[in-house]
Amino acid sequence: MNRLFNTISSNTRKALWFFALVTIVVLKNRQANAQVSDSVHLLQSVTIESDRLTIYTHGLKIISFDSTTLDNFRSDNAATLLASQTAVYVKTYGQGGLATLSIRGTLATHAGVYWNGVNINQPNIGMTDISLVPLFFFETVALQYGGSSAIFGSGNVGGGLHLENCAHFSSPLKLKILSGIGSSQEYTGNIKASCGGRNIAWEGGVSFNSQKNNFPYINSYNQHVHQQNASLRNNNIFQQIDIKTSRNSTLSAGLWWLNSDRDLPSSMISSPGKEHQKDQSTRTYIKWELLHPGNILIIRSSLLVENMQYLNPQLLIDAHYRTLSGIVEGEYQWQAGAKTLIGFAGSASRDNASIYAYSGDKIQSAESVVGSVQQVLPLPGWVATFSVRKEWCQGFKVPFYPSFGAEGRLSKNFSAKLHFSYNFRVPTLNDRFWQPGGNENLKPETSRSGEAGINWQTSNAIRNWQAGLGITVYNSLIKDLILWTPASGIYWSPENIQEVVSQGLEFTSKFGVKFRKFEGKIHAAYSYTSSNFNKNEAGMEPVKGNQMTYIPLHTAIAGFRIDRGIFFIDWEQSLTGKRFILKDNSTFLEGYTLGSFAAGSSLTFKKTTINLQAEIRNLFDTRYQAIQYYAVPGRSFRLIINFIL
Amino acid sequence: MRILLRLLFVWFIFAMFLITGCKKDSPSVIEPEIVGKLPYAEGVFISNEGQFPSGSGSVSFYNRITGLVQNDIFSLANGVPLGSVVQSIEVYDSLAYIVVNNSGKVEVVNAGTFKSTGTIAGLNSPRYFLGIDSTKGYVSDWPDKIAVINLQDLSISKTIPTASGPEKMVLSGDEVYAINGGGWGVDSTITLIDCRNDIAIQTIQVAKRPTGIVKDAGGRIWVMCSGKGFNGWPGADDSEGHLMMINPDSHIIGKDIIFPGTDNHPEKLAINREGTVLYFLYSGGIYQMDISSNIYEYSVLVVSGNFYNLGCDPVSNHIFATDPAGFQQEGYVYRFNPADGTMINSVTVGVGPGEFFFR
Repeated sequence: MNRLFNTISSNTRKALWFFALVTIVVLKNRQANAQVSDSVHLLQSVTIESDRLTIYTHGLKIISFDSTTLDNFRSDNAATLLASQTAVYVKTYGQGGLATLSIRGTLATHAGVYWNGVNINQPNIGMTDISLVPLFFFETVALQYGGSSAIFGSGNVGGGLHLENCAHFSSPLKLKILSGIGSSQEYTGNIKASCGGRNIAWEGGVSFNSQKNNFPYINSYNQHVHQQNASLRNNNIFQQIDIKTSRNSTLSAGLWWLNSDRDLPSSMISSPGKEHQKDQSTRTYIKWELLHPGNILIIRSSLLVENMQYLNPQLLIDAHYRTLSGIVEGEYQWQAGAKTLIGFAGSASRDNASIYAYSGDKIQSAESVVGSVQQVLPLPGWVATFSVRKEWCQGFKVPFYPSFGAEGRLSKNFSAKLHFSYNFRVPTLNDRFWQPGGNENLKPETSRSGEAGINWQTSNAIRNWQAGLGITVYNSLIKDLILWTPASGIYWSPENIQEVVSQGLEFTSKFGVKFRKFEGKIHAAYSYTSSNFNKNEAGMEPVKGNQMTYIPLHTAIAGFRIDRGIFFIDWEQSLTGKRFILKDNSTFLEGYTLGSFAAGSSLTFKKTTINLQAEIRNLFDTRYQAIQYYAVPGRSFRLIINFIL
Repeated sequence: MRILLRLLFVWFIFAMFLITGCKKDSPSVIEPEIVGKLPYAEGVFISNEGQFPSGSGSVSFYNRITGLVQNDIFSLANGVPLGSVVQSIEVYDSLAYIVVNNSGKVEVVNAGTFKSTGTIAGLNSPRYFLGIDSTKGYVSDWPDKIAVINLQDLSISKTIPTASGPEKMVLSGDEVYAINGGGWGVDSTITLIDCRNDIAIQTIQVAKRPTGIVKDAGGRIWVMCSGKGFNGWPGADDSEGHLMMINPDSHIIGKDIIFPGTDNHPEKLAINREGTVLYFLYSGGIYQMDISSNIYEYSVLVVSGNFYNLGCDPVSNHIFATDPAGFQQEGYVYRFNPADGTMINSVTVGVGPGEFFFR
């Protein structure tokens, strides 16, 4: 049988997989039309992305930011939010500069970034600059800790950042206008409108952000200087329309257009350069959902176009990058019984890259199928999910990737989670095709990870308080890690040469209370992240057991917010521990803490709400380096006014 | 329950104070261990480019007598980082000129104490320094010029246009030979400069991508042209490497040794104390060629290694080679016996060791 199976070509096997998927979808759909489940509460989610994030991720730790928190950061980008509100590590080149996400000691390429379920990581670099993700447009922002490639596909090794919008059916016209002015000639303006009738809903907006970033700082030579060549201008346009094409079906389409124009500052030990980068992204999707009792069918197609231009007039470099990704996905969910939900999904994607350093245009295609089972367990409040993915990626052999998670209550106040998964990341197009150095013989990175957590929550309705504690431990092993190393003295080449063992502990705590006219919230979180090289490399100092570079062992946040009537104050502190900057761990950057303070008021006139907010960032004027020798601003200020009509 | 709540409050108070209290006023980097003592009267200076892409470069000092290395001697002497991408170091008239490429400057220090005496600023992407006389020096500066430096006040008095990507220079009488490697592209020329008047007088055509130049015992100029392309990375229009000899009187190429194949490129060039044996990197190892006779045949001296650059110590005639070990940790310098290629010892230096200056 095995021999027979092996003789079938890979294309034939793919076709069989898709045939099986489609057959199951059709049969189950017909079957379900005739039945009405009494457990439709499991199928209340209306979007494919929230389905995946909520239905198939039992056992994973997910932080979804509440609207109060998001409203405080509406004029910011995702990097600022995550650095301030979570204990994950955001590696940033300074205000407005490239910022990438490191979840649980993994690399930026191990964190997926998803917009309404669409993975927007650029296929040439396998990551997203989260400083270019404005928070103004998104109703839900959630951080997923721990990998789940079975659900989210390649690259979801350390976790993911999920950005989502919702449809505004039967909603009157709402208008939000936000503008701000800050230190270093920072200006921001955002407008968003939404409205919806019974059968059609629309949401659209534009945002504009401009920063001169000429802040003063003390450089490594103890000179008082101003940052140079660091200005930026970001513009975003966002549109979403949802149409109920029948009683049970909805057609949705979304557009996110981004234009970023920024100077790239040199390090403080380099001569001021004139490097410049222009990014333009056009991200679109169209989605059709069919919701029947007990059945959901979703078909989605997305098109992502990324253009980047790097200019260095001093070295006469004008480099162009363009990638175009098309993705078609289908997903079917079937309520197989009162306690069982079964899901199938299939996708096909094609990346086309036109990059100056490649020899001609390059194409990479992939297809995948996913099967999931969600089962309510015979334990109070316990639900388990098992998923498995099979992917066929052009040029690679990708085996089956399963994940299993469960969560539920241990007692009235205690709940528990556990999750195990095998994950993978296929090499980026740059890894494969960059000339010189690109290596077409690379294998996908693979990982296995497991985590377990316990949460305690309690509240007192009479005294109006609530409290929560959570602790999660995890362990993961990434194999065949791709690292670029000098193949000769002149060019670098990627190889599957390393392994990384990440293990750690995450602790979260929160407390909220209402007392007379006051409402107080306090929160604190701590992460211990041990992320170690697991292999020595030929010709190098032994690095096995050394902490990965730029992964802090300790990160923490703490903060409180007090509201009284229309006024509030908010104080946040974050700690980033020391980070080694060389693989031999001989040199490191000291840790630092940053504070921020905000105060504001919310005034309501008839149907109009005006929020005023004043912020002090880097409250204690801490002098620090996030990346060695890259300047960051000291204490800075910002005023924000927000109209909600 | 009450105990948990009390613990929670204690934790919040502890967390806020802990995080606020951990404030540091300034970033710091572990200071390298001091192994030896100043001054640096005799020994080998090694320029270390630094970590890619954001680290500082440094200079290491190898003491021939003790065999010990002192790293980051510029920061030790001056208390500040040297700068981004330390390309090369040259000692001239008791001053060391440290060329810091990405910082667009040349740091000038007392070669004995390494205390800073000044900075040559205003350069674009400097590569190498060459002292001409007590009043002036040249700095090759990408993309296409050589800056003439007034050594009295360290100002740029003039610039001499070159072809693309000027690199190392050699002084021969009143003439300077500057190889043009092409920078980020490929060039195949040498700019010949009259250093009395600081003007380019001739462009000598050589093979593609010159990466090394030395002067032999007879005053002849040898140029290593690596050829277009990268080792192990064949391209459609790659070219083979050439080792060329230029007659200093006629400026005509008198010898052209061609290396077979277009995907195995010879790199760099060093010469022994007597000016009779050339050393270069080739096929992953170190090769040598005796030029004292008319039999120009090269042979392998060291079979393999992750070599980035090489030099020959005029005091001991030992061959020194650098291994940057990926530019993500401290690199190595290996010392080889020129007689049989055996390794004498290796030492750990700064990140990304590149060039030598033997003093």
